[in-house]
Parts: sequence; C-alpha cells; structure tokens
Amino acid sequence: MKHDKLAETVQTALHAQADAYTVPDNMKERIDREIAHSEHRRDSMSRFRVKKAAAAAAVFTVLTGTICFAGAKAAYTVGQSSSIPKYTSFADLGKLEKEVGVKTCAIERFSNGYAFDGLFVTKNQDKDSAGNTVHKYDNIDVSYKKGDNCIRYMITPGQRGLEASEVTQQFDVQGCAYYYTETQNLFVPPGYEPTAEEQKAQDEGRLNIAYGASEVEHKVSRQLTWADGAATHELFAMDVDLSAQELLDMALEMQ
Amino acid sequence: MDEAGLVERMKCGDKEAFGMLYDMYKERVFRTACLIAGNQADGEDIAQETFLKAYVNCRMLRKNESFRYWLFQILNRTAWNVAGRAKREQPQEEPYGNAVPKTDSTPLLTLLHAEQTSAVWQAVAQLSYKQRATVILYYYNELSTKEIAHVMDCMEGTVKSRLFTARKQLKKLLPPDVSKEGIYYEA
Repeated sequence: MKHDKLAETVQTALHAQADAYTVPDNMKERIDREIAHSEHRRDSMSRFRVKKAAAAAAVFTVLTGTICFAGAKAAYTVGQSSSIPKYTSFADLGKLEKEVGVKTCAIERFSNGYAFDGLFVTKNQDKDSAGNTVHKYDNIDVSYKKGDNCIRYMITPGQRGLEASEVTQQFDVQGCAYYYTETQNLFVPPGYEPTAEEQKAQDEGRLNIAYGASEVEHKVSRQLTWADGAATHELFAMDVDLSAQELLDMALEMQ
Repeated sequence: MDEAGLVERMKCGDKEAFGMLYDMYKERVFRTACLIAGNQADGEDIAQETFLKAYVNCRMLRKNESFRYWLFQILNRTAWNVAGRAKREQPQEEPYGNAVPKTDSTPLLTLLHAEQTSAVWQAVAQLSYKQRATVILYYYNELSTKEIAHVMDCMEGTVKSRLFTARKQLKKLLPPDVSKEGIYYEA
C-alpha cells in the first residue's frame, strides 16, 4: 500500500467511520431465518410431491380412468434432497444424467425469460401401504429462475403414475400427450387439524394438505407432465403465475 | 479447524461451520458493507444478503482457501445491486452521515478527528461506486490491487487506475490541510 499523508488520512478516517458501525445482535438470527425459509421453499416442493402421490394412491382403487402411465403401485413416495444444488453449471448436466441414468431435454434458457439456476438430485423411495420400500430411484431436478420466481423441471427414469381425476387439461401434440394439473395446496404445521371444509376438499381431491410447514400457507401449484419411453418429465411451478399454455410452450421448447 | 476446513464442512450443509465463519467475518463484512453503502440500513441488507448467498451458493466455490475473496466478491456484487436500487429510489435518510469516532485522548483531539473523518467521509461519498469500493477495499480492508481485481472482477490495471483517479479526486475535494499536511495527526 502506498504510504503517504493522504493514504494515512483516508485510512484513519475510514477506520473511525467503520468503528461507529456495530453489527446488529440479531443479524445472524435473520440470516438463519432466511436460510431456513429458502430451505423450506425447497422442502415444500418435495413435501407436495409426497402428499400428492399419497392422495393419488388413496383414490386409485375407486377410480377407473387412469392415464396411460404405468407402474403406480406405491402407496406413497418419500423424496429427499439437499437445498444446495449438486451442480451450479449447466455444463454439468451431461455428467449428472450419466450419474442418475436418465436423459433430460433441459435447455439453459427459455424464451419467456426463465434461466437455468441449478441442478439437484432427489433420492426417492416408493413405499407400500405398510411403509415398506418397494422401489428406490433418483430423479434430476433442474431449477430455473426469473426474478424471484422459480420453476422446476423434474425428470424421473421410467413411467410414473398420474390420476385421470387430477388432470385439469390435456394437450396432444405430435403424438405426445401433455397433462396439465392445477392444485390448491395448504401447507400446515405438524398437528394441524383441518376444518371440516378443508377435510371435505381434500377428500374430494380439490385440496392437497401438506404437513410440516412452520405456518399455514395457501399456495397454488401447476404442473405439466409428459412421458417418453424412458422417463417421465414434469414442469412444476409453485405459486408462480404461469398458464397451462405457457407451461406447454416451455415443454415444447425443450423438444 | 482452519478456515478451508470450515468451508468444506459448510459445503456439506454444516450450519455450525457456517456460524464459525460468520463470527470470523461478520465485523469486516458488515463494516465494509456500511462504508460502501454509506449508511447502516443498506449495510445491514448487504451484509445479510452476502452471508445468505455465501451459504446457499458455497458449493460454487472451487478453492476453499479463496473463501475470503469470494465472500468479498459476493459483497461487492450485492452492494453494487443495492447501490443501483438506491439510486432509483428516494434518497435515504442521512446517507453518508457523520460517524463519531469512539475513542480519543482529549476533547480537542476528538473534535479534530471528528472533523477530519467527516471531511474525508464526505469526499469518499462523492466518488463513483467503483472508485469508492476500490478505495474502501484498499485503505480499509488493506487488500492488494491484485486481490481487489479478483474481488471486483476486473484487471489489476483497472484497479490501479481507479485508485489513482480516486486519490486525485479526493485531493481535490479535501481541504489542503487534510489532504497534504494531515495537521490533525500532529495535534
């Protein structure tokens, strides 16, 4: 460092000024809260999927019109993943595809502004009604962001089940069926007692109640699902205002 | 455990290691953020966001030994964004308000130091963001020009040029007794 009078003066003044700033006692607490919040947002998505699978299995026996996807033998699925991306560079996608054993059609950026944000791996276990693991598999989650909005593109090896009753809209494009579902979700703390109305909505499949949140939150999720011979693909948006057509456009952009 | 070891633990999601790194850097990061932003409120936001981003994105850091510079890199980018946001918003309350130095031996010395700090501080405030950040990283954090280039993502020559221009500007803005003689130190 250059040591002259000016340097000394500036240095002393900056130190004097800096000494007047005291780290707030609650700053760490606020950071921890923010970290917990960001982890919760990610966990919410996983919990949603678990509960949704369980709800789908519950009505499976009484409904007949199931969508063509096969293999929905599990009563529910437990998914586990880290809130920290496994890879943060899009260039690592090929490596991850090899690790998980599934080919994705992910792109780096969509024309509507959503851009690649990270690569996650979710470790899933399909359970039967007695809680026994019947199938283990990993899936790739590709996260995209646009401002504060986040969407996920999830790719699971094989074909996963989807209930006809869940489908809000169906699109057939070039011989491939795309299923759009829109779900009302209620994230609630453990031990929460649903009201009679909420229970009725859940029983009728109009509401998905997910336990484990720190406070009651109502969120709408939108999902577009399609399958090819080797994998099931899902575009998933929680509390993001995207129409079915916009999700379909994004899916087609990846083909 | 050394810093690189703590970073490695943090990468595995160890929050205790993150807490230890936070304790190591909180004052330096917070004060640098306040100096660059020019006020405590924005400084708090910048520091908070810096630590949050450091935790969430720690796997992006390739060399654990470079954590310190990486942290300052995040701080600089966050501060740059906050500065841009502040520009678009209403003026804040007392940006670059004067701080009162905490300790001095005599009331006269305290007064003289306070005046000098105020004059320098006001002059630093008038520098452009990039010059101001460079001056703070160089004179307050005592980073080398090479290290600043790494933090600010630019060439070392650019840092030297910013420092040169900033010093020239400060000389112009400061009263001659402060910029040349430094009489307060003689008191």
